[in-house]
Amino acid sequence: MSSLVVETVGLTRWFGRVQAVDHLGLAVPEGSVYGFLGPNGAGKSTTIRLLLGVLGPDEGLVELFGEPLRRNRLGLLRRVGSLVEEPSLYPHLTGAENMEVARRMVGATRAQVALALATVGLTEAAKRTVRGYSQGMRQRLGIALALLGEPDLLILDEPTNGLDPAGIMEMRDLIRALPETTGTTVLLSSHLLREVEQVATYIGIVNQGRLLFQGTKDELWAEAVDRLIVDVNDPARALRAMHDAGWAAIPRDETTLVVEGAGRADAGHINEMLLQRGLRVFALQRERVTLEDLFLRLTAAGERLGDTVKNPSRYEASHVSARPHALVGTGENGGSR
Amino acid sequence: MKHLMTALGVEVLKLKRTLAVALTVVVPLVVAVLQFCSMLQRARYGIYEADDPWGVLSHNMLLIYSLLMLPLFITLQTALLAGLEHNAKAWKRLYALPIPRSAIYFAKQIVTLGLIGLSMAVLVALMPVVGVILQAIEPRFALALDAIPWGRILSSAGIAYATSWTLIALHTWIATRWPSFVVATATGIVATIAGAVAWSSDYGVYYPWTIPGVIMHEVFYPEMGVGLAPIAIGFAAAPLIALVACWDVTHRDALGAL
Repeated sequence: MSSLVVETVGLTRWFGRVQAVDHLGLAVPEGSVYGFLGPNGAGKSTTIRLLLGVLGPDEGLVELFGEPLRRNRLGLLRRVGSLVEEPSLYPHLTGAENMEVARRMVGATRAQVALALATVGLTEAAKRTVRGYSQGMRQRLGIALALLGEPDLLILDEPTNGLDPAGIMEMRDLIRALPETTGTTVLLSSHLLREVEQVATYIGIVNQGRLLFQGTKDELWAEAVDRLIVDVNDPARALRAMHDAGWAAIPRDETTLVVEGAGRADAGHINEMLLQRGLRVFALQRERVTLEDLFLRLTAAGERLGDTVKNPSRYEASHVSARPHALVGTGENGGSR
Repeated sequence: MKHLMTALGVEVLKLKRTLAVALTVVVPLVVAVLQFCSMLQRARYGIYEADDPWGVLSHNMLLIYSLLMLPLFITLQTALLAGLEHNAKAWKRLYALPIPRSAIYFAKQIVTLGLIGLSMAVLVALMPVVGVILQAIEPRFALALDAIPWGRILSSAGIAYATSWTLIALHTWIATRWPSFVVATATGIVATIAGAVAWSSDYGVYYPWTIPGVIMHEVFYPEMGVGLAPIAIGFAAAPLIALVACWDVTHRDALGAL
């Protein structure tokens, strides 16, 4: 197993009475593109600020490259590039001057500045003041600032904000290539599942400050279980019959029910059972639950993965985890030692 | 020290295309024009400050500057420098960079000290210019260039400048701590107006916003006998405020990061 570039243990942060981050146990393996997913206000940006030491935690620990951030903040930050939400740019300075400000602080070379600007396609525009930049150009410059100094860890918070479709594709290709070309580990925060899905190798899903899932993309895909849509003459009776038989069914509309976790073989059994009970089945349709459905279900419920599955036997059979997949350790949220 | 030098270089770079440097010339120029008009006006009534024309010219210029312009100028410059970060929401980025927060804070303070020093140097440099023009317009002024009291001018300007560190430390703190430009400027304006009142009271020697003016005045007119209190306050308060402010600013969550 690869070592962890980012690890948090019991990370907690309150803003007044609001708990923005709730005992978060993040584990980002080296060389990964870690997609940090959650709806708006889930605690992603606060978590990132805690990782960078911009905010202090109320409880818990942040470790970067295996070392507590508190102990060696400057030394560790030297290896980190970041873009937190909108880029922080000085509008009265040119793009190149903004890069120069960062270059001096990071201790990068002028060649690295040129490379970062070229990477985001701003070499020419860098001579102009940022005041005249479009939102997309500002975002690109923010990414160039984050890339400066070829960091070992790149933390990008909603990096595609303001980018046009072509820019989003370029960004995606860049992020995907970084671990291979430079060995950079990328922590990518977003509320856009598709954006993360296409580049991430690991995924963490957070809502209301709590980690709902953490694991590889394949592990998350494994949660995408089938479901069966049953069109029946008496849905209320059918619902009772299915619950009696141990199926986790829920009404979808006036005539149909949804049975979570039901596969092809189950369709036959359900049909047979309903017919035996004198019900008339008009249609049985299998649907593949998408990652998006899973994400929405997780975040809307605000509960840990699997808690929403009603039938315990199905719950176990469908490989749905009761806790986030632990990359390391066995503690709550997968982050404890 | 290396970090501080880096932060200083960065702060200077950020001044490009801002009003900060232009103001270091404009503010003393306004003072010079005011004093020029004042002396010309008095000459119309036959007042040529015959006893000590250079003393009156330089004292008045320094008094207008240190009592009124200096506190407002410091307010404006510190608000402008901190505003660069507030407006760009740059604190969260600055605090995520591998440079100590204290270096960033002190760099801002040192740059302000530099700008104020530059401005005072311009003010002093404008004194002979004002004198020469006045002499050319009204030859009855006895403003010979070789009679300029450089010793008094430089010592009073120097001591006023040194004690302005207290104000710089205070206003850097306020401007950095509160993102609102209004808070920073309103504090300075109110404190300066209050200073104009405090100046003529017994408490003017203890009031940070009037101390540079009081001390400057004392150099020209030692018979006023204000003693060492303002100098002591000016010198002792500055490092204390600077350290407390630095501790406060660097131990808080990054401004604008919430």
